[in-house]
Amino acid sequence: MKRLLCATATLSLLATAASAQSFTYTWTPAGTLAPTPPAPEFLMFAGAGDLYELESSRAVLETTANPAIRRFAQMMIDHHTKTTADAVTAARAAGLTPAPPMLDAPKAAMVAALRQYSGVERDRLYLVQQQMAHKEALGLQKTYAETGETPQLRSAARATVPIVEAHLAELQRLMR
Amino acid sequence: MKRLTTILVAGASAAALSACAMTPSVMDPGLTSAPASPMAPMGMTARPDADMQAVLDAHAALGAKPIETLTVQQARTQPSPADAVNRVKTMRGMSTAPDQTVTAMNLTYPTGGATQPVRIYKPADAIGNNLPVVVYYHGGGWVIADLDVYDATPRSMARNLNAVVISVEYRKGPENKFPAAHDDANNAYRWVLDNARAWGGDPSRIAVAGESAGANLALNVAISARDGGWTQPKHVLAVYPIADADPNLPSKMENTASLPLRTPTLAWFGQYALRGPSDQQDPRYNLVAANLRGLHGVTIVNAQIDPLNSDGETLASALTRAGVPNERRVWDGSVHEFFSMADVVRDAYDAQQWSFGRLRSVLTR
Repeated sequence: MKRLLCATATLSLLATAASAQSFTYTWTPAGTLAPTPPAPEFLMFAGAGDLYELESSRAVLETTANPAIRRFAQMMIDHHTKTTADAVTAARAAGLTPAPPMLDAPKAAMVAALRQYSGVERDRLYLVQQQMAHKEALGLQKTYAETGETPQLRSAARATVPIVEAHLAELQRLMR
Repeated sequence: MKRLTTILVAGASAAALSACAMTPSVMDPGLTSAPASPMAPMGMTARPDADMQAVLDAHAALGAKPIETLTVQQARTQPSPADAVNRVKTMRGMSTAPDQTVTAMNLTYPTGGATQPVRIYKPADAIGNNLPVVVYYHGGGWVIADLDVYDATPRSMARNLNAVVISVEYRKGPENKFPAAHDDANNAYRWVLDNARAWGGDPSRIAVAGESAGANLALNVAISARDGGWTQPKHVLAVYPIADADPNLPSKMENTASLPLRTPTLAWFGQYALRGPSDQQDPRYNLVAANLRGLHGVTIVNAQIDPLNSDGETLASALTRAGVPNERRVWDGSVHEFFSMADVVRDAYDAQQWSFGRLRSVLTR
C-alpha cells in the first residue's frame, strides 16, 4: 500500500510538472474567465489579486518620488483593503469561510521583481504591472458578477466592477 | 523550456521517490506555499519563463511602451529589447560589452539609387579565405530598429559558425513602403555574392537568415535567387517569420496583450510598412501562398507567446507541401525577440545552438 501511494505521489508530481502550462481557466475574447470559477476559487483569486495590490503598492510607496503615483498607490491600498473586506462579509453571509488571501507564484514573482528596481524604474514597472493586474481583476469580477453561482458574492462582484474600471481609467492617465 | 521541464520532472520524481524511501507516509512535500496560477496571463498563450519575464520587466522599467501606442519616431527611439537585455546583464553583474572576439566592419551597398549600411562580422581569429557566408536581415516590422538593435544575433552567429555574417540595413516605411525593403534585401544579397571573397568568404557556401520581418526578407531572397538564377542560399534560417496574412490564426487570436509584440502591433507595422491592405495578399508578404518549390532547406524558430507563432506553423506546412526540407521548433515560455537574448535567456541559448547547428551542418558540408 505504501509503495502504491508513493507511485501515485510520483505520478501526480509528474502530471503537475508536465502540465505546468495547461490552464484550468482561460480568458475569453470578451475578457471574462471560462469556466466561471466556483465560490471558493473566486474568493481565492480575488483575495490574491487584492493582496498583490496591497504588497505592490506598499513597495512603490517605499521608493516613489512621484506624487501622482503616491496618491494612486495609497488609493489602491484603501480600495483593495475594502474590496477584500466586502468579499469576506459577502462570503460569510453566504455561509462560507474564505481562506486567508495568499499570493500565487506569478503574483509573488511580480512583487519580487518590483523590489529589484527603485525610483522611476520601479514606478514604471509598477504601472505596467498594475494595468495587467487590473485588467485581470476586472475580468474576474465581471465573470462572477454575470454568471457566479452565489448571490451574495455576485452582488459584491457587481459593486467591485466599477471600482476596478475607475482604477484602469486612472492608470491610463498616469501612463500617458 | 522543454529541456528544463524534463529536468524538473526528473528532479521532482527523484525527490518524491527518495522521500518515499525515507518517510513513506509523508505525502505532501510542502510545495504549496506559492501555488501556480490556474490561468494564463490575459491576452497571452502562456506565462513567460522566469528569465524571459526578467527581460520583459527590465524593458518596462526602462520605459518601453507597446509599439502600437507610439508614433513612428517614438517607436524608433524608445528603449529596445537589446537595451532591456543590457539592463538585466547590469543587474546580474555581467559585462554589456559586445563579444570582442568577433570583429565588425561597417560598409555600404548600393540600392534604390543610393546606399544602405551593412555590418560585416567575422571571428577575430578566423583563418583562411573560404569561410561560410550568412546574409542576415534584422527585424522591426519594416518600420523600426537597425543594425545596432540587432547586433547580438549576427555576432553570435559569426562566432558559432566561424563564418562571415553580413547584417543588412534596408529602407523602411513609412518613408519607403513595400516592396522597398524587399528590393534592398535582394540587392544586398547579390552585392554579397560579388564581394564575399574580399572578406575571406566563400560565396558558394552561403545562407540567409533573419528575424521577424527580416526572416520574411530572407525567405524572399531565397525565392528571388531561385527565380533570378543567382547562387541560391544553401539554407534559410527564419526566426519567427512574418509569413501568413490570415488574421484569424490561433496565435494572433491569443496574443493580443503579449510583449514586446502583440496582434495590434502587427496592424501598426502594416499601416506604415505597406502601401495598403492589398499588399498583405502579395505572396512576398503572404509567403504561405508563394511558390516555395526549389528552396534548399528552411529552419524555423518560433516563440510560444508570439502572435507570429502560427505563421511559422502554416509556413512549415506550405514548405512541406512544396517539397522543401524544413524543420521547426517552438520554444515554450518565450516571447517574440527572445532569440537574440542567449546571454540571459536559456531558451534563446538553446534555440541558437539548435538552429546554428543546422546551418553549420549545411554550410560546412
